[in-house]
Amino acid sequence: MQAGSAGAKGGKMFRSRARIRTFSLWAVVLCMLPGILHYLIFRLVPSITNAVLSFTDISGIPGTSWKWIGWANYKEFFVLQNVRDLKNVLGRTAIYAVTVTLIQNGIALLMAVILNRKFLRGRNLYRAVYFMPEILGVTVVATVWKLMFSTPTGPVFLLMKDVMGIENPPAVLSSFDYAFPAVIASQIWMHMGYSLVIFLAGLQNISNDIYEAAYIDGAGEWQVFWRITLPMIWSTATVNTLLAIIGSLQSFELIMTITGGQFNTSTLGMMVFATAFGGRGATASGGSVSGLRQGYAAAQSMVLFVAVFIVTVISQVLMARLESEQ
Amino acid sequence: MRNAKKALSMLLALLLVLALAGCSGGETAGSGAASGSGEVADGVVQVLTWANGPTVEFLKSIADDFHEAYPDYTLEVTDVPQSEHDQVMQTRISAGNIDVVSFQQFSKPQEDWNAGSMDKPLWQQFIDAGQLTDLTDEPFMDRFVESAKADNAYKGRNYSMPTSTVAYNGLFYNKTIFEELNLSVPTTWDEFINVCETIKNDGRYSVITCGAADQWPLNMFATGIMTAQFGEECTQIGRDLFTGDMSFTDPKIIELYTMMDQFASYMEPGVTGVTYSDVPGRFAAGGIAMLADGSWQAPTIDLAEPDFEYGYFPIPGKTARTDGLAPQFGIKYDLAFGVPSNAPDHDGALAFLDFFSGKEVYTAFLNAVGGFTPTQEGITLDNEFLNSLSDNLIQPLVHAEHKVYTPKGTGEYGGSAYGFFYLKTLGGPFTPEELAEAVQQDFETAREANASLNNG
Amino acid sequence: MKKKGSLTNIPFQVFSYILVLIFLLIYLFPLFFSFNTSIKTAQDYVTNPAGLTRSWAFSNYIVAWQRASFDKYILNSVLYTVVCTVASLVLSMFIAFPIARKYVPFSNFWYYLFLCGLFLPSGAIPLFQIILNIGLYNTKIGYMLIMTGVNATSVFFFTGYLRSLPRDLDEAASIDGCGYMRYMFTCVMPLAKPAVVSMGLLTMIGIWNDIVSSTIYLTSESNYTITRGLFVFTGQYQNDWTLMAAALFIVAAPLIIAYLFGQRYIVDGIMAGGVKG
Repeated sequence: MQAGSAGAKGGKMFRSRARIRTFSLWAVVLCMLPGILHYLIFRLVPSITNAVLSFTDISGIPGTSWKWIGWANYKEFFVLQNVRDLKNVLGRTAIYAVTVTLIQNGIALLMAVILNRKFLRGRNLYRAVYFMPEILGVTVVATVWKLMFSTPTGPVFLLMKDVMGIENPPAVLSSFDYAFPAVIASQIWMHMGYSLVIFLAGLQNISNDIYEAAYIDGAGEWQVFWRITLPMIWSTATVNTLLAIIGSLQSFELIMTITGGQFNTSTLGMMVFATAFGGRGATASGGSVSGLRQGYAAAQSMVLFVAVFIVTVISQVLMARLESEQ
Repeated sequence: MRNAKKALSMLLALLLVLALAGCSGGETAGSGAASGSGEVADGVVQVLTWANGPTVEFLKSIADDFHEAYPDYTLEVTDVPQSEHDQVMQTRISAGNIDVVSFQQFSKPQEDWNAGSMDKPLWQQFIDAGQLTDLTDEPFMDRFVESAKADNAYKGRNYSMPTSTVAYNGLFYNKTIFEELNLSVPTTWDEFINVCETIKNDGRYSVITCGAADQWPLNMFATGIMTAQFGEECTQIGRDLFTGDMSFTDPKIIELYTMMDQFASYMEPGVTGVTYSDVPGRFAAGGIAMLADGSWQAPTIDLAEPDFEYGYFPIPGKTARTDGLAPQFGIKYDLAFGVPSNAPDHDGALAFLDFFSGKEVYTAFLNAVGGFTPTQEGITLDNEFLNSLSDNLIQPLVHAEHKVYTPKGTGEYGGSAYGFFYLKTLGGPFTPEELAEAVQQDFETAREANASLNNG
Repeated sequence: MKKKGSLTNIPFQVFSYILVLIFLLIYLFPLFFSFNTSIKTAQDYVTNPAGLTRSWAFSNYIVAWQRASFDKYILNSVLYTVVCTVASLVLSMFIAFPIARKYVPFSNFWYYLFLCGLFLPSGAIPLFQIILNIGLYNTKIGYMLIMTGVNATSVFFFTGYLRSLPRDLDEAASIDGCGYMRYMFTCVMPLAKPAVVSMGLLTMIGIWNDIVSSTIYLTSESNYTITRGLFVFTGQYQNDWTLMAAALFIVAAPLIIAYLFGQRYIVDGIMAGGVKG
């Protein structure tokens, strides 16, 4: 199916206003309407209202009055929180996004290149297995890794102690040093298959003839990868980067269920969730915000939104620049 | 205005449902026969509580008896995990479709002296907004002891029915090991350290374990030791530390940190990795002399090993009591029921509280749950374990956990339990003195930030 | 097609196999280990947490099923998942097709508007108020309205995929007098089957596994989802690992089965979408 790229090009060619209209505009629009309305009412309106609420002290307790408080919620987020801890959380959020994006896509690309090769037997089986965690969902994945990392009887602990001969292996999930890498690893384990599949799809768009020609010319695997594969799937990589960055910045479920944000694992996404639910981990220092302050929760989610937006734009610009340099 | 808004949103929704059904070939049509919204009295008393196996099971088991006693009403119990409980409670009160809600102890209200750097806790917000029914004059409240009512009162009124307490600055001990090593239950801190030393030197058993991986089980021992060490004084110390009238570098607090450090040094190696759900089994397996935990854990230990012999004693402070009493437990009120003012079956909710607190049901509740102690006079339990605690519950202390305040925005070292987990002994970066310094620093920074924010 | 094995050097093949197998282990072992936990009795787990099961307690699955009252909730979950998945797919398809074909004015605007859904804060608080005020709180319809939606990812991949379908078809169909709706249901969707299946799977996972929304919006037991049943294993003071693991596998089973049927479409479905249009 090379039609993908051809079709896209075709779209551009047909951009002129003069093309034949195939279906009545009415029918087309009428069928779009439910989707648009639903999106408007249940997605856009709440989201915009959320932005408005971030400038109020609304508590969500029925019977309480609320008032406009300007930027006070935002001030509280940036000024009142312990600066050291806030820096840590923001730093961790960045590390989380960057490492997850790089490692997850790196592994996925490598495995995709291998799984795309015809000599490999059972390719569909491997692909199915790597994609499995995505199907199982967060609760299962979190439980799986809690069991794996459990101390002092879990497999990872025993591996470190008995096989690798470490004398006092750390309790991974409750260590200030190792809990965060462990959570990152779980996130990558869970979503690698998704990136892999997208890469595989991208690879299948590359015609085999190009490869054959290259091999016949005596190019090595490494050369083929840099000269042919990478440039040709760059747009796929862009998509994957986008999805991984957004996914990792917003994600809180894995952190929430594995460590509850304790032991230096909290990120911005996790804080937003904890504030909304009145749990621990709602402040940069791991405390809770008392009394479900919805205005403040809204402000926090706006901070996250802006952060995600900026990082996404930067990453897309970066990817585009790298592409043009090639 | 309000009606217009409502009408508009109604219209939009109607439009949408129609459109959905129209455009997707009728796939969504008729699939969701909407059930009643529950905003009118329907005779179903809805109780919300957090997931806690034995309690929820018991509440569900008394539904039939309740219906028999009050034929106008039936009972429906909903439980959600504790992490989502507050959010659900709030949404259900907003929606006006809950009759009985659950609280923990009403502690740490916002008051004049702390208002500048502390928000109101959820329970206080509810009461101030007039969302909770004043239960003070309800006849069933007379069944509860004065101290329980006083400990949960707000401005002299009671908005919750405190059903029970739990003791939780104690240690379960393995009776076999204690007998074998000729140890008796310690009544002072020095005796306690001796006990630990003896077990450690013997070398065959781990001294203390705890579900430290979940953090809170160990954190509650920081405040637990504080309860034992300072007793009633905790109230004043907690306040002074909050306002800055007392520094964490005060010798008294340094001593407390040193005690915490000592306590931590007897924990089994790798204790920070032990998950809370594993400790009953590990302790009952017999290789560990003591388990730092709350009284609620007893039924689970029994479940893990029915023949296992154990006792439970409060951790003692440095000075022995002068009134001849044994060391007393630090307690908290665990499950307290409240009635939202907008409860659709308001009378039914009160009927349920009356039914629940009646001697027979109440006794059955405590027997069934196993780790909770009564807040009513003259309750005889058939639970051997609970009865064995009576000497240590003559004048129980409210656990210091409910007396330590932290200013809004306090850094992580000054967070829960005054930074217990940051001790070197537990894998953190600080010695007791350094920790005191760091906590003090975090408190001061937060106080300054609050002051500057309040002033402009 | 010629045989291509000869074109690849042997060390690379060996390297590939080793890598693939290492990753197979990394993915299968944790799953196997958890499954192993799920067939241990509590006693067995306490005394022998890491070893192979000695008790073969498959009865855990029955106990977990009963304790979690899954039988009461499973039909609800099936209803929600089927209706919301189908509705979401149809809604997204009807959005994506005109955008892909530029049949509507400002198709780029619409495209980016829906793509915004990837970033936008959820607005959980206002959403709750909307549902409450239109009287759909704690109703099946209300919950399904929330779980349905034009998914940004679906629009993205559908648009990409639909662009790869030949445009001549549209013209042929409209000349034959085939109505738009009929054309979409009988022609476009079957042709886009790989994309529909893979997005359907992803949508399904989100709905089936949802806990947060169902906790907030559904308060009557008659409306509960299967995930609500899991709550019995999470206590205030204790967790029951073996039963919990069994219950989790029960909840995941239908998804795994659906996945086994749909997985061969997944790569193809994402294929054209992954290529930026």
